[in-house]
Amino acid sequence: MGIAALVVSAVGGGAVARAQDDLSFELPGLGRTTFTLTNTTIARYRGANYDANLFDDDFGSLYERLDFALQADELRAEARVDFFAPHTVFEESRCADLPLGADDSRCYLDWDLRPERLTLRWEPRDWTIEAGDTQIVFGRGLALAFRKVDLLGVDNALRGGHVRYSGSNFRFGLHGGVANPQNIDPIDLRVIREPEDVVVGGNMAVTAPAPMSLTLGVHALRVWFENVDSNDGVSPSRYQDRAVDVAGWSVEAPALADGQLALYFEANGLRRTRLLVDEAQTETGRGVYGSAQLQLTNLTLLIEWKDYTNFLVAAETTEGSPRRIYSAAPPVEFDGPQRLRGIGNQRGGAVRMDYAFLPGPWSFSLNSALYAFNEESDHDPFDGILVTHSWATLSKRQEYGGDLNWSIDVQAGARFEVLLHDFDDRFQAGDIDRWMIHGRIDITVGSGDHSFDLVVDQRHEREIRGVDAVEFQIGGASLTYTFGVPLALSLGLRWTDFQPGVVALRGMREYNILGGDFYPSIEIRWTFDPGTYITLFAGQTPGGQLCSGGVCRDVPTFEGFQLTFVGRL
Amino acid sequence: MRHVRLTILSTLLALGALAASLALPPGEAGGPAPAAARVGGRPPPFTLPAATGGPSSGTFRMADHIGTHPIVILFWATWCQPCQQELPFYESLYQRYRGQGLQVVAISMDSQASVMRAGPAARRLGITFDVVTDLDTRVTTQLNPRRGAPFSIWVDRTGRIVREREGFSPAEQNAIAEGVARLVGG
Repeated sequence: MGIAALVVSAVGGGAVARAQDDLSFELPGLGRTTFTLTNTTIARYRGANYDANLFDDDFGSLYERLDFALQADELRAEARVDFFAPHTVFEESRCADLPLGADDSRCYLDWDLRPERLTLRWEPRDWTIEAGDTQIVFGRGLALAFRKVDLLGVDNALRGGHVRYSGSNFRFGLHGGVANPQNIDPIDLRVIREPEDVVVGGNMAVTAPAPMSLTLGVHALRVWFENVDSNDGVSPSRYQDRAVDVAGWSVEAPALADGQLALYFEANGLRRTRLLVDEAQTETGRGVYGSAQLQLTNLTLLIEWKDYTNFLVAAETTEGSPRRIYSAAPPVEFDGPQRLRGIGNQRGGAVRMDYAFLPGPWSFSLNSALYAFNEESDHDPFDGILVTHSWATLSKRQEYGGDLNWSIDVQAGARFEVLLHDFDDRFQAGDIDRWMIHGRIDITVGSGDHSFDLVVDQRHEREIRGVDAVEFQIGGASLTYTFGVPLALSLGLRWTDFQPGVVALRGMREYNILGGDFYPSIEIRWTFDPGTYITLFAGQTPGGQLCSGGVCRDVPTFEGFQLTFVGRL
Repeated sequence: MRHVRLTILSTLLALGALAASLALPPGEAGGPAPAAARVGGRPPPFTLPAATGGPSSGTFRMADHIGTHPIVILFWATWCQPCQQELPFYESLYQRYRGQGLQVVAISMDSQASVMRAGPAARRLGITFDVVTDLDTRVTTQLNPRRGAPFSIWVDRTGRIVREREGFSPAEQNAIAEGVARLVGG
C-alpha cells in the first residue's frame, strides 16, 4: 500500500483514507476511490543520425513518464509527469566551443521536467465537467482535432475548461483554453516550447429518435495564434494578431434502410485574419466532407468525397509544424504511411469495397482514390496535380480451436501523381510527377504456446527532385517468435535509399557491413506480468518522411539501443 | 545548478524504481504469467458511439455493466495487424461465455482518416460483440495512456480492473482462455 497511501495523503489532504490491498480507498464525499499508475522508463543511446547537426549525436538519455489517476464514482483526477535527461545534464554546455554568434539552435539537447497533463473530471450522470487537459474532435476533425498522432510524435491537448452534456437525443460542449502539445518530442528528443495559442469553441447536436437516428450538429470556434514562428517557437512571426474562425454543420444518419445505409456530411467555412504592419488581411476557405456506406451481409461499399479549399486550422495554410495544426480533415487515401502534399487544398473522392466470405475466414477489398491538390492555396486543385491510387487486399483471419492456426494478409497497390498544368519547359501537363507501387504480406502461424509472425513490405517510388527524376526503394522484413505470454523475439531488416546522402555516409562506417542502405535490428521483450514488461531494442532504423492524416514530418535515422520498462499499478 | 538537477534526477529515479518494484510480482518473473492475478483501479463510466457499419448500433454505456458483468475492453485499430488476430480470439471466448454474462467491447483508436473502416473491418473478422469508436482519443487517454494497440483490460464483476496487457500473439491463447474462464467464473 506504500505508494498509494502516499498519493492519497498528498491528494486528499487531511482526509482519512482507508487503504485496502487493491489500491482502493474510501474517501469522504467521494466514496470508493482507486489509484492507478503507469510507469514508462526509456533509457536510450543514440549514435549518429546522419543529419547536419553533430551536436545531437552520440548521447545517452533517460526518459521517465508517470501517469497517475484517481477514480471515484463520478470524479477522476489525472496527472502525467514527464522527465527527460540527456547525459548532457551533467555538462554545463555541450556546445561550449561554438563561436560567438553561431547558430546555437543545434544545441537543443536539454533536460526537462514538467507536469505534462493535469485533469480533474467530474461526470455526474450525462454531464462531464473538466478542468485541465483534454482531447477534442469536432465532427470528423475538419474543424478541430486535439488528439494524438503517434507516427508523427504529435500529442495535442487543450488545457482549460470544458463542459459536455451527452443526453440520449441532445448533446453539447463548450471549450476554452490554451493549446498544450507534448513538450518533449519523442522523435528527435527536442524540448519544445509551448505556443500560447488560445482556442474557444462549442458544438451542439440533436438526434432524432430511432428508427430514424438522424443527427444534426453545428460547431464554431476561434483560434488566436501566438505571434511566433512555428519552426523554433521563439522568433516572432512577420504577422501580428493572427486568428482563424471556423463555423460548420454536419448531418449523420448511421442506420438508414434497416441499418444497411450510413450517411455522413459535414461542411465548414473558414476565415483567417492577420495583421501585417498596419494592413489587415483576410482570406476564406471551406472544408466539405461526405461519405455513404452501404452495408450488406457480406459486402461493404464506402464512397467518400472531400473538397478542401484553403482549409487548414493553423496560423498559415502552409503551416509546417504538425503540432500547430489543429484540424485533421480525412484524407480519403491509403491507410499507410505515404507522402501527401497540399492537404489544405484538395478535391476528390474514393471508393472502397470489402467482401467477406462469412462465416468463413477469407475476405478481400478493392479500393480506389482519385483527387487533385494544389500547393498554391489560392489556385484550384484541378489546376495542380491529379492523384490516382488503387490498392487491393486479400486476407484470411485466424480460426481458433485447432492445433494449428494461421492468418495471412496480402496487400498491393499503385499510386500516380500527374501534372495538370505546364510546370516548365521540361515538365508539362500530363507528365507523371511521382509514382509509387507498394506491397505487403503478413503471415502468422500459431500452435500451442508458440507463434511466428513474418512481415515483408516494399515500396518502389519515383519523384522529381530539382530537374531530375529519382527512383528509390523503401522496404523491410521482420520475423517475430513468441513463446506464451512472457517472450517475444524479433529480428528486423529495413532498407531504403530514399536519402542518397545518408546512404553514402552510412556506407563509410565499417560496422555497416550490409551497406549504407540496410538497417538491421533485434528486439527482445520479456513480460513479467500482463501489465509489466521490459523491451530491449538494438540496431538501426531509417529516417525519412513520415505522413499521417495528410500531415508529414521528417524523422532522423536512428542507430543505437533502447531499453524500455513499462509497469502498472 | 548541477546539484539541483541531480537531486531531481535521483528523486524521479527512486519513484520509478519504487513503481517498478511494486509492479513486478515477487517470485514470478520469468514464469508463466497468472491470467488474473493483479488488481488495479476502476474504469471510468464512459459512453462511446458504435462504429458505423459495425456489428453493434447506438452507443455502449460502460456504466450499465460496471459492477454487474465481467468485461473485456479491447483497444484496437484497423492499421494494427496483431489486433486483427486478437479480436477473433476474443470472439470465440465471447461465444463461449456470453451466456454467463461476459461483455466484450472493442474500442477503435482509428483517426478520422480510417474511422469509417472500423465497422466493416470488425464484421469482416466475424465479430459480434460491441465495437465502438473513440475519435478524440479521450477514453483511450484515460484507460490506455500509453496508447498501446492491441491493449486489453479485464474488469471483474465487482468493477475492478484485474488485468492489463499490451500486445497479443496466438501463443497467448491458452493463458488468456484460462484467465477469462476464471474471470467469468470468479
